Amino acid sequence: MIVHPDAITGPVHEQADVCIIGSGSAGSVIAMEMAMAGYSVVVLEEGGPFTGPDFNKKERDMLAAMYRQRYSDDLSILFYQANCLGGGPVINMADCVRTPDAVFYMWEKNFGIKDISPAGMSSYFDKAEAILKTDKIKDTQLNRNNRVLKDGSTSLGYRGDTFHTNRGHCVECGFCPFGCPYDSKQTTMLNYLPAALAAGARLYVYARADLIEQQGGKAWRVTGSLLNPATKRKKGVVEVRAKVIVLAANTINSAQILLNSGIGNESGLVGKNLLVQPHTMVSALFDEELKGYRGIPQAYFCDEFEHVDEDIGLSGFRLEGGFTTPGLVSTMMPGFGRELKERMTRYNNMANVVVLVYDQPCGQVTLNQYGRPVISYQMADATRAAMMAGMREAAQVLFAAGAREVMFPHEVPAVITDPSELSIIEQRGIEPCSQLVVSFHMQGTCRMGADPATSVVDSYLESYSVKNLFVVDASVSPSTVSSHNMLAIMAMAHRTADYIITNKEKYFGSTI
Amino acid sequence: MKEETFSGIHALTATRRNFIKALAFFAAAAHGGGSTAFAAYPDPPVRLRFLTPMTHAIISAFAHRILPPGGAFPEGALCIDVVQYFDAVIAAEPYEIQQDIKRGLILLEFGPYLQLKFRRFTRMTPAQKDAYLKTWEQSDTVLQRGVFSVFKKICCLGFFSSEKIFSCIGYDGPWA
Repeated sequence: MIVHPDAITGPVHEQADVCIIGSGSAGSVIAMEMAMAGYSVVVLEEGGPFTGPDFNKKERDMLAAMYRQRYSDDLSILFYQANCLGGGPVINMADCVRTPDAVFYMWEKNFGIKDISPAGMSSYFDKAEAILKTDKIKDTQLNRNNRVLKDGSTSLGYRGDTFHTNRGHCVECGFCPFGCPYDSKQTTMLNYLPAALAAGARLYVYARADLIEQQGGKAWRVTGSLLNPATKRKKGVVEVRAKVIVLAANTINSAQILLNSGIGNESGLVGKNLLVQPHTMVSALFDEELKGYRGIPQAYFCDEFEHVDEDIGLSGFRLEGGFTTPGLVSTMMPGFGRELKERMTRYNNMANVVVLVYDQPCGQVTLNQYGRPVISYQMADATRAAMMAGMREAAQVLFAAGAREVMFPHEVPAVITDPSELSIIEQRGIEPCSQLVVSFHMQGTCRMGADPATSVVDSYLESYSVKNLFVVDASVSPSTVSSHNMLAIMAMAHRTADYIITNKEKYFGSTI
Repeated sequence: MKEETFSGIHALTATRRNFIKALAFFAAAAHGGGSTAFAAYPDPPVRLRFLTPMTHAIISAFAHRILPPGGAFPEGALCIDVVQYFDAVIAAEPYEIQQDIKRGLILLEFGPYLQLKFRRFTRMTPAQKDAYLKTWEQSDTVLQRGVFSVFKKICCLGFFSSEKIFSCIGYDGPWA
C-alpha cells in the first residue's frame, strides 16, 4: 500500500518489524526482501511517486519534481540526487556496472571487510541483474553522440565497450534522466517496489525521516515529517517503531540523519570520507547534424584510462557518451550574451563526452544551524590531474571523430579548433567555480569496515554502536564501488537482507 | 545584519567583510525604508514567491544580459519566463539557501561600489553591465565566480527549457 499524505489527517504511528528510510536502489531491495520473507515493512520516502504517465518529458517539470540539486559549500560542485519514490534508478541513465573484483579484494585487504569476495558477491549481482532484466546495449543502438565517442576512441586504439543496461523495449526517446514514460527502463518502480507492496509493505511517500532514536543501544524508533506535496513543507508527523531500522537515504541524507540523531557516530566518521566521483564535460561541434539528444543518452564508455588494483581500487578516469535536453546542455555552455545564444543554435551539431574521475575520500558532510547538510569538498591534486588528463583525452577523441571545434567546460570560453591548442587545459587549470563540475555518485560518509574506530558500520552494514540499525546505501562504500553505483548498491542490499534474515532470531526473536 | 555564513559563499575577503555587510545592510535598509537616495524598484509584473521588487529587478537585469534579445534569434530572457522560473526554483529551496541567494543578488547590485563605480548594477548601461558581469565571470574570487555561475545556470535552464525557444535552436522537441 502506498500512503499519500493527502489521505492522512492526523499523526501517523506505525509499528513494524522493519522500517526503511529511503526507497532507492538499496531501500527498495531491502523492502522487497524483507516483505517477501514475511516481515512487516514500513518504508518512508521523502519524494513523491511518479510512473510512466507522470513523466511529461519536460525537463523543467521533472527536475523540480524528482531531483534535489545541491552545491558544495564553495559552489564549485553541483550534486544531483534523486528525490522521488524509487530513487536514483528512476532518474539515472540505466547503466548497470558490476564492481570490479579488485575493488572487493581491496576492501578485504585495506578495510578488513568480511564476506565480500567477488565469488560471494556474484550471486547478489546475478539476482539484481535478473530482476532488472539487464542486457548489453548493441552497437546498432548507439546514437550519434555515442557513435562519436566510439569512433574517436577506437581510432586512437583506446579500449571501450557498450554498457549493460536495465532497459527493456527501449524506444530510444532519450529522456532517461527525466523518467521513462514508456516503462522501458526497468526501475525499482517496476520490480522491487511492486513486489514489496504485493508482499504487504506499507510505503509512505512525501514522508521525510528526521531522527532515529535508540533505546538500550538498539535502534528503536524513527520520527519524521509528512510533507505537503505542493510546497514540501511539513504538514504532519510520522513515527515508526521497528525492530530493525534500515537507513538508505543516500550518502548525503543518511549522514544528515545520523548526525541530527546524535547516534552511530562513536568513530567520529559519520559525514567524513565523502567521495564525489566528479564529472566534467567536453563538448564539440561537428559539421553534420548529430541530434545527440535522441536515442540512448549514455551507451558507450572508453575505459582505456581507468585503472583498478587491489591497493587503491578504482583510479584514473573514464570517458562516456552523454547528451541531453537543451536546458541542461545550456548550463555547460561557456560565456554569456549573444555569444551563448549563438552557440546554442548549433545544438543539433553538438557532441558531448563525459569525463568521470575516480577520486579518493576527501570530502565531508556536516550540518548547518538548521540541521541541513553542508557539503565540503576540496579536489585533491591527483583528482585534478586526472580530470585534466580526461579533458585532454576527450578532446583528442572528439577531434579524431571529426570535430570542427572543441569546447571545454570553463565559464570563460575555452574553445579550440586543433589538438595543438590543448595546452589551454593546463593554462586554465581547474579552479573552483571556473568550470562545470558535477557529481551523481556520492559515496563514503558512513563507511563500512572491520574496525569500529575507523568505520561507521560493520561488514554487514550494521552500526557498530546502535544495534539493529543498518545503513545500506552508497554511503557505506570505503572507496568508489563502481563507475555507476546502482547495481553495486543493490547487490550490497541483497547481501545485507540475506544477513538479517539468516540472523532473524537475533533481530526479531522467534516470531517468524 | 547577522554574521551568517552563506552556505555556498564565503566573504569576499576578510578585510571587505564589514564593507559588504554595510552595503547589504544599507541596501536592505534603503529597500525597506524607501530612502530617496535609492530610487524605488518597480513592482514585478507578476506575483512572485521569493523575489522582492528589488531582487526581481536585479535578476531581471542579470538575465537580460546573460540572454539578451537579438543576435542569433530575437527572443531574450525577458520574453520568456526566465525570472519567474528563477523565482520558482529559489522559492523551493530551504530558508538559508534563499537568504544566501538574496545576499548574492544584493552583492551583485551593489558590487560596483567595490569597484569604485558608484552606480547600482540595475542602473548601468548594457555595455557597463556586460563589462561588470565579466569581472564576476573572470573574478579571482571564488565567491564571485560561484554566484555568477549559479545565477547563470538557473537563467539558462529556464530559458532553453522553454518550448518557445526550441525552434530557435533547431530542437524538434520531446520525442513523441
